[in-house]
Amino acid sequence: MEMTRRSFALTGLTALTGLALGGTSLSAFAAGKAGTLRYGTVTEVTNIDPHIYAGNSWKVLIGVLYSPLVTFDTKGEIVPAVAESWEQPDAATIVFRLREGVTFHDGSALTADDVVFSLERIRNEATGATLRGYLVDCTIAKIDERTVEVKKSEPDASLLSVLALPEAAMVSKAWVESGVNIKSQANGTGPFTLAEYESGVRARLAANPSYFVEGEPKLETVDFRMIKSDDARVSALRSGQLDMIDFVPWKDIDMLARMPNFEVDSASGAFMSVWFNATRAPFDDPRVRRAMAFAVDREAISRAAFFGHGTPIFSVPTPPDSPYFNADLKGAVSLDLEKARALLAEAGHGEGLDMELIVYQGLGIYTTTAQILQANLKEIGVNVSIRLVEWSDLVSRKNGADYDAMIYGVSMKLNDPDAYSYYLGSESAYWAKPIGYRDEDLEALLDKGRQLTDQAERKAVYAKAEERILETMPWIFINYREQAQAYTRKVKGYVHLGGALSEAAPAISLPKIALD
Amino acid sequence: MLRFLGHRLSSALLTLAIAAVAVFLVARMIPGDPVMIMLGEATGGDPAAVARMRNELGLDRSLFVQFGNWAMRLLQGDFGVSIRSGQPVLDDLLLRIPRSLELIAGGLLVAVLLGLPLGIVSARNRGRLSGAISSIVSVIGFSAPVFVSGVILVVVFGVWLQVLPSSGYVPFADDPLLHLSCLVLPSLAIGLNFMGVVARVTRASLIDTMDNDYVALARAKGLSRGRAMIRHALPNAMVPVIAIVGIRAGNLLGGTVIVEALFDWPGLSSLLVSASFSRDYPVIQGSLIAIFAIFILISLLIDLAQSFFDPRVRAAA
Repeated sequence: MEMTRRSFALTGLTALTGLALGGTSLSAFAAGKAGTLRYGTVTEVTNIDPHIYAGNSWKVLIGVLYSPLVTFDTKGEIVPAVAESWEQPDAATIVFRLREGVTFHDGSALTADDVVFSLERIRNEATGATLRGYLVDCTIAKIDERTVEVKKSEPDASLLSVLALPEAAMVSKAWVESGVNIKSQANGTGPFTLAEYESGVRARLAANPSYFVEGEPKLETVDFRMIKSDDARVSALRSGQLDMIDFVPWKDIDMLARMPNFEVDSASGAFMSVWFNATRAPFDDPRVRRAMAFAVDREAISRAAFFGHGTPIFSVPTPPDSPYFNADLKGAVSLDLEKARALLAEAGHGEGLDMELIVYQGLGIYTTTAQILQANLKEIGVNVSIRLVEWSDLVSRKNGADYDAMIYGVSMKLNDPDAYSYYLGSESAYWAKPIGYRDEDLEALLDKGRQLTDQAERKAVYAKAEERILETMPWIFINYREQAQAYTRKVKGYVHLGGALSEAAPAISLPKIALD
Repeated sequence: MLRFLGHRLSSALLTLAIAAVAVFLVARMIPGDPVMIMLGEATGGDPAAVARMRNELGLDRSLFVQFGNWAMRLLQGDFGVSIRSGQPVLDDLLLRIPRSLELIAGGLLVAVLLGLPLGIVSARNRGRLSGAISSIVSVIGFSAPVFVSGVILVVVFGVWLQVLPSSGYVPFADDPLLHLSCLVLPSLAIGLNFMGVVARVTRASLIDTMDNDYVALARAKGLSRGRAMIRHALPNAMVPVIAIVGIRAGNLLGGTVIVEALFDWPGLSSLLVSASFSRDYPVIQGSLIAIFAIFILISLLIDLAQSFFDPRVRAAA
């Protein structure tokens, strides 16, 4: 009896497996798509609302489930997505012509009403959308069934780049209004549909057969595993359970790159800085902030905290390959203890001062940076006490203005230098607004830069803005950190991007990736 | 027996009620604000947006009112809704609890299947090489912390030999074989430590029991030392072993915190940890309540098992 039961179960199992395999290859053949990419990602995504930024992995997931009006290609150029073309009748307006036949994953057609609804949802305060600040003074109008106009009250050179971010996703009006839980369900127009999802654990993405880009995606499925532990992510790749991982730990970049079966792509992504509570004495004095900026040994931090994979920033974080890069500022803030001591004395703190530095405890890149900073600042008489906190405590303190200084890593967000407004503009809920920071000169320059369209003129304005940033030094820029992606050699077609697009790079590549 | 059960059940419920109050307060005591975290780094700095969401989530009401609401709903079996995902907490719990229990069961299995024979061998062969070796193995087992033995297991079996998945979870329904093979290393990691304890207690208890007159009698009747040990001493020697297994089985639940993180196993502990990082109060509270309930349930079962083996335990109650 026992034997029979067991062999029965075995037969059943074999039959089932055979069926599953057969089914897979059959449907793959029909759709011309093949293979499953097993992708290990760093953040535990627990909210997949496409308009509220929730970390690196969120961006990858959202980027392939949903599409914006326009998007970035693997060269970083803006290309059509849901919109097939666009016109800019004046510097404050963009008119989008929608592609015909775009459908949501539930089969319904995307209309101009959906586009208006999506952008209005971002503008609506109740949504808490990440891009609200950029779009709040826009008017969105449906011109006809296939045409939508986005108009700002003032010229804005960065508008198109903002609308090309994954966060500017198009959602279906009828679907959202039907009362679905948009935090855990998805219905976009992107290359992949959400086949299975367990909040914070895993997601299975299936190729969208009616994706509007011909021949994409090439994969049939993407198994998305959220593995927060750095070591577990690397081990899973090395032991062959994953084909690709993001956020390769800095200590492992060289190790993986030396192994013959893996490819590691690395590029400057986010940058690390010290953020001051610039309205709290004595940090409200620019001389105090500048003094500390000149005392930081950026080379040492790059070597010790980033294992050499973190280029020091001796001026401002505009990347050297940006058309707005200003070579005159090169080396403007290098290590100069004499100057640092002089500035501190000038500010009336020649005898030194005490401060607390809030540091995220979970990553060596943060804690090692903090230790070096502590030693550096000691040299000029600034006694730093380090307070290690968890990420949520750090964010709460940042938003609640409860700190002297903290270490923070962010990316430039936009390919456009208006990214500075996102952080340093007085309306920035990210940094300036909670502490009430406002620098009139910088504010005027940022406003001006946004409104100009001529690149040469803009460049001149942003050069001044950057000088002003260095004069007032609300943040001490430390270094870029490399963001690395590692994958087995059978993964073909991945293109790594640095700078503002480093987070979105996997999403941009995924529809183009094939397995050997 | 029924009276004993009733007594144990009512004290279990009282413990759970006290735990509920503690759980609620502890969740609120950790610094950090779920609203600011939910709104994200980008919009969390806007006081108006923060106030609006706090109101929406009912977090602006007094702690007393919040607790009352939560407790009332809890009594009706409603664990509330996750702040992060908007999903009912109960859905998450029902998904996660079986996975953690699987891990604990796996750990117990490892501990008992390896620990008992190890203990018997080292008791029986006391003073001989094989006895010394099994003693050393059990000492190593219980001295190595879970995070050390876990890492070693990952590196040896997952990365070098590549015979078992180094981490991860696959639903049983998707692939039963892969599911079980994913379970092996975490079960070993969680069970090895406990195996050492089981072996040591078994050994000590066996040696102790062997001094009893009835064992001497069995030996006098001509039974070999080994037979006397297995037939006559072992059943009685099991009482302290079961007690220890019972007390420490709750600790296995604690061990899952590290093991689930190390092996990327999406159980109850990792739910609690990730909920704590984002201050998702309803999920923190729900998973803590579930952990307490499991803990209490395990000790209840162990009490029952003990009273089955040893009627004196029943009488004492």
